[in-house]
Amino acid sequence: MARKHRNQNQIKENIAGYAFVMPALVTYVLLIAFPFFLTLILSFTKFNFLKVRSLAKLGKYISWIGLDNFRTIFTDRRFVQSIGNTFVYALTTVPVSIVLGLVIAYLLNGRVFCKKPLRLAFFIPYISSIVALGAVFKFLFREDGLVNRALMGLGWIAEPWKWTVEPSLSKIPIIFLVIWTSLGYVMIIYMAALQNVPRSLYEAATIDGASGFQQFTRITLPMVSPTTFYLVIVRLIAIFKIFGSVNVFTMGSSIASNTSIVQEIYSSAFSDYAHGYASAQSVVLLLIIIFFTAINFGGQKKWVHY
Amino acid sequence: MKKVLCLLLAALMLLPTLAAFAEGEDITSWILEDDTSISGEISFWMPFKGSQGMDALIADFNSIYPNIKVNLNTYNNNSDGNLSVNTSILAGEVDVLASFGLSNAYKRWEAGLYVDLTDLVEEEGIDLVANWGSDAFKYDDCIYTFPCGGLSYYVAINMNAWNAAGLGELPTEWTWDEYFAASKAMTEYNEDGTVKVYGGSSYHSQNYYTYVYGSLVGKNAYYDEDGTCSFDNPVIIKALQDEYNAEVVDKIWFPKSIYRGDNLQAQQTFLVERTCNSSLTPNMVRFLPDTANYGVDFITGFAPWPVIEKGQTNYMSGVAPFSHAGICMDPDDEDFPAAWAFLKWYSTYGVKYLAAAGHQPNWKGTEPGSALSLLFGTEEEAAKFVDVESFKRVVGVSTNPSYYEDELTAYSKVNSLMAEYTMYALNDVMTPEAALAELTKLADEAIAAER
Repeated sequence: MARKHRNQNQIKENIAGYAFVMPALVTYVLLIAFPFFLTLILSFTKFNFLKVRSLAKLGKYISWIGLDNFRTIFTDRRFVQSIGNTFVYALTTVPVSIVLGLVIAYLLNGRVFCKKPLRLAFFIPYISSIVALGAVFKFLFREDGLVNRALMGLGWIAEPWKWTVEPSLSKIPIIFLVIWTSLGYVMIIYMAALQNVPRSLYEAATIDGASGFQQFTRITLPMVSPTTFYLVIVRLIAIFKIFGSVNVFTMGSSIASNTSIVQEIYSSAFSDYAHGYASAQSVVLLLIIIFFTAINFGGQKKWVHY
Repeated sequence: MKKVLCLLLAALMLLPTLAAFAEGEDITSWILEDDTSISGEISFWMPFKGSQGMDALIADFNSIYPNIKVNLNTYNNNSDGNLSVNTSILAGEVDVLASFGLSNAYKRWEAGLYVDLTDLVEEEGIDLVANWGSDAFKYDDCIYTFPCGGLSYYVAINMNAWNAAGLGELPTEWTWDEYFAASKAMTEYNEDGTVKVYGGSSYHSQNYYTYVYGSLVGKNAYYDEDGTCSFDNPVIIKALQDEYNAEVVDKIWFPKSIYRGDNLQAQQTFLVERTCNSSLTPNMVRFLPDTANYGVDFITGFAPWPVIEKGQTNYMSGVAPFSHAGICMDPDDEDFPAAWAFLKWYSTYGVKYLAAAGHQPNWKGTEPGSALSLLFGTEEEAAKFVDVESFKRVVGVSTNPSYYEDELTAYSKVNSLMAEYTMYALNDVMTPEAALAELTKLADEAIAAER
């Protein structure tokens, strides 16, 4: 009898538990798990969602083509170039924004005049609309923009440079924009980390005669290394998914030298309506992100101090 | 005998007039027989706003069909705007849709987003050729849309600059060499030798040099007769080389690299007199009466699209089909007859209102001169902005030979490749010849892959 009563209580508790979890579970299944597995399946198909007039006949509009999409990807000149471009964005913006963010956080962590307004000034770009910021940067880098005028005024260039359409220059404004917008986020995370470094370590180092630079390299850097590791992972993933800032700059220019992976995926899906192919491109992006995240996790033992 | 011959000659001369009259009667009669008392409510999706002629169009329609309520939805004719239209069609929100550009219409035909009108067209005896000049716009031999809207291609000229350069009368026919010479004559320089005002300009889209070939062959500038791409054609190679020379070497045309890089449009640079005095623009006329944004102090004259050699049939001198209207509503919907009535009216009598937005009616029954009155009101008012005589002679002459496109194999791919490699040529990354050679190779691969 007691056992039966216990089982009934257990069931009631389980039901209550499931009821609490259900909203999050349904949301997760509908918005994350289902699209994820659908993307995986669609990557092996030829599919145009515009043709689907009735969900009941969905199968009629999807044709299974095996690995054809993946074979096409590696001969797709623009997609391969977009992978190369995205790597350039990752290799330039991630280290620079992390180093600059740490330096600014370190400086603002001490006694600085107008500390709060300065923090705010660095953080505002991160919370601003990327489209608006992109438009401002595009204006700065246009043919008669401030950058060209300044460079010509300094006598460094004779004629205005075509920053947005010249393939050898076209990544530079985007790199500046990405570094500028991500700096605030990196700085805020580092400031939180720096405040957790025990003061006693610096006091002991001062007594031992360590210089400011030595204290920074021997105490600060190792102590914030878990944060650096977190930022490397987060920023790398963000850069591999970069879209808005690139889209503002590439709009209308038609060149391939500054496009990103997600932009190519968007173009396949919503300009060419090749949703099967776009899904295959998304799977490749996922594999790239997993690969680099795994490498980072593997390498962290050598430089991250917990 | 002489009298008989004279009478025969007179009858012969009258024949085309009588034929045209008879043809006009055929075109207009089929819609006037409809029942105009039907009622319903429909949504009409179109890239132009109410103030760009669409309110007047709907009011005119309601004067004939008072019981049909038409709700205008304006969308942006870019890739994002067209995507939102497509998703709205799937959601059942779009009843009548005007697609701009054949590639957008084609994607919708292919995806079955438009209702197949073939049976209705046959039932009512609607003659596509008599009404809109072509029956080429079909998919799988089915009619989904009417090619009712078009574009007129011309050179708009700042008459102050033209007269100051002493270029005389506006040409009724001219070659590309003559156009480049006029552009050079109109170019003004600063004291340091830099360009103050560019003498000419291409339109801001990348594909305009291919229309040099289009004006010669009359259709499908991207494709040869055998279905391969045409970018290795000597006419196209010379056209791109000419544009490169005009923009990069001689600096007599406003650079396309700046148009594309800074998101400028040809009508802006023309109307603010910042850079160009003449421009190859299809929709320039829309902006001329816009005194609030462009208060110009010059009269705009019009010259026809230049030709390679004088005497050549100029297929860019007519109205090239550009917008295609059809029905997206479920044929079983109770408002379908209202949508069909509106589509027929819009594609015929109503299409003249496109002129208020700079596009041209492609319906053969449109009264000549309606563009001028819709844009400016009266000829006296028009004379404040344009050279009326050249406007009438050049803009929207639907009876002139027209260019059209009906070959769409890998069109989107070929078009984006063309845009990319054109920019490489005009940005000095590759020579025009090398860029077109590479473009030919890639475009042919894309065409072969789709076939």
